Formats: sequence, C-alpha cells, structure tokens
Amino acid sequence: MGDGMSWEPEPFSRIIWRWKVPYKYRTIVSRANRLAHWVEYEAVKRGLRKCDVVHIHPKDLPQRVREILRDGLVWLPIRTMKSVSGFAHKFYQPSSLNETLYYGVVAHSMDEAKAFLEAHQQIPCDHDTIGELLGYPKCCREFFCKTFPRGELDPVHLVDSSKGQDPMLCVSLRYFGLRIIPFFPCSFNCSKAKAFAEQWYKLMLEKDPFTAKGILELLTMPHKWSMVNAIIEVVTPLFIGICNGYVRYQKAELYWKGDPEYWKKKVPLQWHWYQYSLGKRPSIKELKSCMQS
Amino acid sequence: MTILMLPNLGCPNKCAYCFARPVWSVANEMQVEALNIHAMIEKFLHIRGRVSSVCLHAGEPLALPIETLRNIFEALRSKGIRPSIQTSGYNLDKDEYIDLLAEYQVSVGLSCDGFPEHMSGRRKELAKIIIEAIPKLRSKGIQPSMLIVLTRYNATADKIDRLCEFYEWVISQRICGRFLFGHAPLFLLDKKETFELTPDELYFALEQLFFVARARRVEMQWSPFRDLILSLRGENRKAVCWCNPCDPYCNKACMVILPDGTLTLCDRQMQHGILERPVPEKYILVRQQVLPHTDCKGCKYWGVCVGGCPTDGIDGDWRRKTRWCKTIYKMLELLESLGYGKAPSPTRPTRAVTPSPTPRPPQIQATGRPHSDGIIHEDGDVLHADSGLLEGHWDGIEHTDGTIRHLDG
Repeated sequence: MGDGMSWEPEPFSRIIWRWKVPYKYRTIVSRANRLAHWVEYEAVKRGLRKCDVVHIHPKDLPQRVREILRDGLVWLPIRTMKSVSGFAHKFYQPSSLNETLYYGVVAHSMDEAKAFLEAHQQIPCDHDTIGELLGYPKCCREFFCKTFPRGELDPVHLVDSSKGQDPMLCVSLRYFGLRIIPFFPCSFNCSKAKAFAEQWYKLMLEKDPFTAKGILELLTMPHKWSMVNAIIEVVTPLFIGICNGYVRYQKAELYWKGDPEYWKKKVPLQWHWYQYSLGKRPSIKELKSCMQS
Repeated sequence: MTILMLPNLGCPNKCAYCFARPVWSVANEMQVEALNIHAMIEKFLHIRGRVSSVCLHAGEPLALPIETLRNIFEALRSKGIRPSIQTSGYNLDKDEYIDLLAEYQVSVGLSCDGFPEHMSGRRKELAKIIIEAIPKLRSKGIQPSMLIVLTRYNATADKIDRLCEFYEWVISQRICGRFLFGHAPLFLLDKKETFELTPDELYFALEQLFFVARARRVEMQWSPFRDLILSLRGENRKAVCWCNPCDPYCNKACMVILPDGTLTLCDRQMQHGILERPVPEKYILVRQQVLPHTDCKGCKYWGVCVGGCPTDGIDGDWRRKTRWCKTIYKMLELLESLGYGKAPSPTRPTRAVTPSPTPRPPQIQATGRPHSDGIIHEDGDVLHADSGLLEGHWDGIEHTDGTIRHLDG
C-alpha cells in the first residue's frame, strides 16, 4: 500500500541502452509515444469511445482547437497542469506560463465533455465514470478504483498475473512509450482488456505498421519491473529504464515472463548481460552459445 | 572526474569478486575486432574538460601485447596526455613491461589485497609479483599507488593483524592508495557471505588500518580515511566519488571509453554488461532527492556520505543507501571524536568548500627539490602547473608531476 507521504521525486524517465542494441529498437521507442497519442485521439474520432484527454500548450491553443472542431469534436478545458519532461503519475501545478499545459477533454458532444468534467471535479474524483467515458472495461475500472485511491498511483505490481501475461496488456514499459492499452487491466489476461487492445492495435497498424509491430514485439520482452524509494526501474534485455514512482517503503516487483526463447536468439549478447542484471550467472553452455552467435 | 580507457576488456586474472565478469565472456572477440586507439583518444579529447591524464583500466591492461601497449602510450604522448594504469601485476615480472612503463612515465596503480595468503579471491602469485615489482618500479622512477580490496579473504578479525603488517610494509615503501569495500556485484549477491565482510567486520578492519595510518601520519594519503575526513570538513568535492552525489546511469565522476571509442558509464556498472552512456546527457540526481526522505532520513551524516556508492546499495539496489552505512557511520563518529572534523548542519546537505582552519603539516616530505615541470595537474580541485600558472596554494594533497612526487608548499 502507498505510504501517502507528501514528498515525491521530480518527474523524469530515462532509457539506458545496452551496448550494440540494434538501432531498429531505438527507432521504435522514439516513435512509440506519438503513435499512442494518435491512436487515443483517433479512437474518439472514429466513435470507438466517447472521450479522450488532450494536453495543449497555450501557444498551440487556437490552432489545436480549430483542428479538433474540424474533426467534428469538441474540446472542454478542465485545468492547467505542469508540462514535465518525464512520466507524470498525477497532476503537477505549473509555476510559469511556459511550462503550462491545458488539460481538457475531447468528445463528440458537449454533454459528454461536461459529464467528464463533472466526474473529474467530484471529490473524491469519480474514476469509474471517467474510465467509462474513456471506454475502459468495467472490471478494469473497478480494479483501478480499488487501488489508486488508497495511494497506489501506479499499481502495476497489483495486476493479477496468475492466469498468464498477454503482451498486448503489458503496462510496465509505458513510461518509455511502449504500450498498447492506455489503462491498468484488472488482470494481464483480462478478455475485455484484450478485446480493447486488439481494436487499438488495428488502428496502430493502420497508421504506422513498423512501429506498431515493433511495440508489440518489445512487449514480448521478458523484464523485471520494480519500485523502491519512489524510483521505478525496468530491467530488460535491451535496456534499463528508470522513472519516478511514489514513496513506498516496501519494494514492489513484477516479473514479466514474455518470450525468453525469442529474445535469447534475437539479441544473444544483450540477453547474456540481462541475465547478470537479474542476478543470475549464465552457465558455460549459455556462454558458448552467446559467443557462437 | 576520472576517465578510464579500457583497451582490453578481457582479463586473465579472473578475480572471484570482479564486477566486470559479464564483460569477460565477450571480451576477446570484441577487443580484437574493435580496438581503435585513435577513436579512444578522440573521445578522450572530446570529453576531458580539465582532465589531463587517462587511466588504462580493467580488464587487465598489461595483458595486452607489449607492442600494442607501446602504440597506445605513444599515441597518448603525441597528444600530450599523461597515461596511468591500474593493474593486478600481470606481466610485471617481465622487465620489458617495467621498462616500457618507465619510458613513458606511466603512473602505476597496483591492485593487491595483501600477502599471497590474503589473495584467495585473486591469483596468489600476483601478490608475489607485485611485492617484487615495487622496488624495481621505484628504481626506475615510478612511485606506484595501491588499491586494496577488503574482503573476508584478508580482513576478518583473524587476518587483520597480518594485513596490518602488509599495510605497514606498503607505507614504508612510501606508497599511498585506497582501501575498497569488497562488495558483491548483482550476480554474486547469493554468494556474498563467502567474501563480503559484514558492516561490523568491515568497521573493525578499517579501524585497525586507520590507527596504523595515523601512527605513520599518512591518514590523509589513504582513502577512505582522507575522503571521510575531507567530507567531515565539508570538502566533499575533494573526496572520492562516493562521498558526492552520483547518478549511476549518468555519473559525472567516472567516464569509461571502450575499445571502439564508445563512451560508457562507471566501470562498476559493468555488472550489467555494457550500458551506453545516455545521449544527450541528463544528469538528474534522483537518488539524492530520494534518500534524505527515505533510507537516510534524519541522519546527521547525510551531507558527509550522501548515501554512499550506488553500486553498494542494500540488496544490490542502487536506489537504496549503501550497505556499509553502519561502517561509515561508525568511522565518521570515530574521526569526529578524534577531532578531524564535525558533521555538517542537517539543514545544509553539503557544505561549501572551505579551507581547513588549522592546516596539518605535510605528512610526507617533498621528495623532489623545488621544481617546475610545466605539467598541468590538479590538486584537489585547483588546476595548476608548477611553472606558476597558479601559485600560492597548499592543500596537503600528495601528487605526482611526471615522476616527481611532492606536496604543494
């Protein structure tokens, strides 16, 4: 459980690549975030869900709002927020206009946008209604409503892994742009979340098949997610990623099983080093196979 | 800032607790294909700032063929870069290697954990080679320094007296250096009890060694004593990297250049294999933001050790404070009680660099006459040349100009 301390680290996220990782993967990571944002907006435009949240910088406001209206949608500003260079688990208050973003909701009608605004303004925030307007499955909304309000701002480790882990539902690499679904599933094998993900993935393929396939490939990567002292670290065969978390005295961990055989063959050298990062000592046989590769 | 060049990622020594083990397995292939001395030097010139020397470091640099080494030293000399090496003594029993080091005025750091019986974690014959090589090096004008790793092999209560004997002999050779806290890298955490000392055992060993140094008045020539004293005085910037804030994934204290000229992180991060240094660099001291609110909350010595080296973190986790916290705390209490300094106010995380109110007299007499060799070097963080580019300072730090070892003053 979160410890509810008022202190929190400055938002940041960073990837430290292992040596000689194929450049293809760096390209995918650099494109992933943009594709994810495109899909979220496009899903509203195509009527796959009612609302999306959009952040707009003051200087882009007139042009961006015109674009939204041209798409037959409306935009309702909700609040200002600080633009951060890392990953934001929550809203931060801006201290100057330059770092300010307008946080607002995009919807088909003003009624839907207002419903979102009302849910947002309730104390405590009505996460269930917000989740519904964003099109998230009911079971997954319930999971979030149970965990987030008790201080678990990033409940990755609380998602049920016991029935398997579907790469489409992976949320432990999203700090670095790698994700398909934009919400926490109740289980990494949730059928409703899976159906949502498949729709999303189709859209991604339509826009940028190289990046979409690459993201799905990277989500099959085995990795270890952990959070200690308000820092999240994700150790993967290709990179180590770090970002801000929240204060929690007990270490939180998640092992993503992924497809080890695939990655072992794909990047033998980095796989070899990944084993050491996990605290394992590869056998002589594994070592020889790495050298031969 | 320390800049290391790793022309040889491989190592014939295979020390039991080496944190670079993940790199050995792929080293041979890489170094043969990739060694590009000019790319390494170009990278050094690009990043060096005020740094004028480079250290050839682990793997074992002296395991390289002598001609390759000569080429490296020659290339460094042609660019006016002063070379140093850190070696476990491999090939130091061969005169041609010692002659080469002397010819290029290479500063030599020796890694040796004591007499041969202390070397269970390393090849025992290396201790013998080093002990025999020291007089030879000195006769050629090379004054080596020494790095001693404290582990269960050499520093438990039953072995510490013998280690102190070794230490006294080392001091008698006018050698300065450092004691490292032998820590298990990530992949040896499950075996750590075989070689890692407990914090209490480590304190006991350090305390004995400190009193040996103190009796010989060389405590300011040996790390970690010097570093802890400097940090107690608020002069962390002059102290070793782990007394200063460090971001393990983008550290400023140590940069490593690989055989192909790639720039990577501190060599201790080789426990993960090789990680690329992030570009563009983003230096966020997140660990230093976090620890005063968590593991180090309320600690009166926070501004002195700032959580210690990230790779020594509890359970091998860089996000935690050092697992030697208890050792360092007790050492700082000891040094404080002996009047070496005082913990900074808790409201000031790190004190500004201030001169010591009562400078201690030089512990080692200058071995060189008043000299001027024009070589730019750093004393603490003062950059100067003995030709008088910057003059009129004395900070008691022993250093070497070329082959002349001296104290300013």
